[in-house]
Amino acid sequence: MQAKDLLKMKIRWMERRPASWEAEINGVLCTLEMNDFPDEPMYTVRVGNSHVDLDDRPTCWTLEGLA
Amino acid sequence: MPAKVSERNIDPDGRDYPTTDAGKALFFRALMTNPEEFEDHKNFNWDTYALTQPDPAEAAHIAASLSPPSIWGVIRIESAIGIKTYVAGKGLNIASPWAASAVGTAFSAATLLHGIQEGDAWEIGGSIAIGGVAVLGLNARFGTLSDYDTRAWYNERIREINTDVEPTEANARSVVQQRNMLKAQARLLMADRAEARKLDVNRPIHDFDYYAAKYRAKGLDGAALWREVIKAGSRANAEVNAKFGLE
Repeated sequence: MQAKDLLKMKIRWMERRPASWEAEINGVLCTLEMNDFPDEPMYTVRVGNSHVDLDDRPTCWTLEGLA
Repeated sequence: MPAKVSERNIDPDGRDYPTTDAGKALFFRALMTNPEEFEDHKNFNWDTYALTQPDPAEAAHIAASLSPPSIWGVIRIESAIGIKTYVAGKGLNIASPWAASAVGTAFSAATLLHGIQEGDAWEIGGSIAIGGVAVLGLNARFGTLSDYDTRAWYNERIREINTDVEPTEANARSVVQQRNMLKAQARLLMADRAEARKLDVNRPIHDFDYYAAKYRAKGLDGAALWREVIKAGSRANAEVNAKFGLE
């Protein structure tokens, strides 16, 4: 599974640290980090060794702590 | 029609000040970050200006009406964000009453409180009505942009910061201030307000001292230090911006 694959998945991200979320997808730990926006993209999502930077999060994602 | 100065002056602690000039003066002092600065300009005539805030739902801009006319002067609106917190140096620069430029931070100044004149520049302090609307550069409105558009807007604006200046501390401070104002304003442009609040809490905007310390820690000092701080002032994250087609 690549990080970009997560963009189309319905995911409920749980906040483990401030502005940092985790989700377990098919037994694999995925992380989502809020960055120093707008100097940096809003989020970086990581799974394994792959990562994707993105600004607007997919509508199919739910982030704990963000309505 | 231009709005008149507020009928009531209530400071962040809830104190209600008289609407006389003396009362206003006390009120403004309560809001000012630097009361001495206020004292320096206490001769400003309260009644020579007014500020309009159109219906927030319809508002296209903040307009300032000045008399005597100084419409090409720089107007800086200092803002009490959310009324509770007065944020120094965050304002809205307006090149003319009808052409707002995007420097500074303000939701909207519903009530004009205090103004000073410095040469061709007018400086005006205002309280803030949360939810107000202002047109900024690129005709962007607060609370309306996607994250992608917000960053595109920001990247466009920080390119306008003049970094071709002497490597002095004063210039470095100026560049950091300009960049921080744009950054704060970019966050105000975001439509996702919960996300913006999250950013402000967890990814706060750093001041000049932070950047100076950052580059000092890399062994820089003197002109080399200020040059690096200045260079960073208009430097976006090139790698990721290229990836997103923003550069």
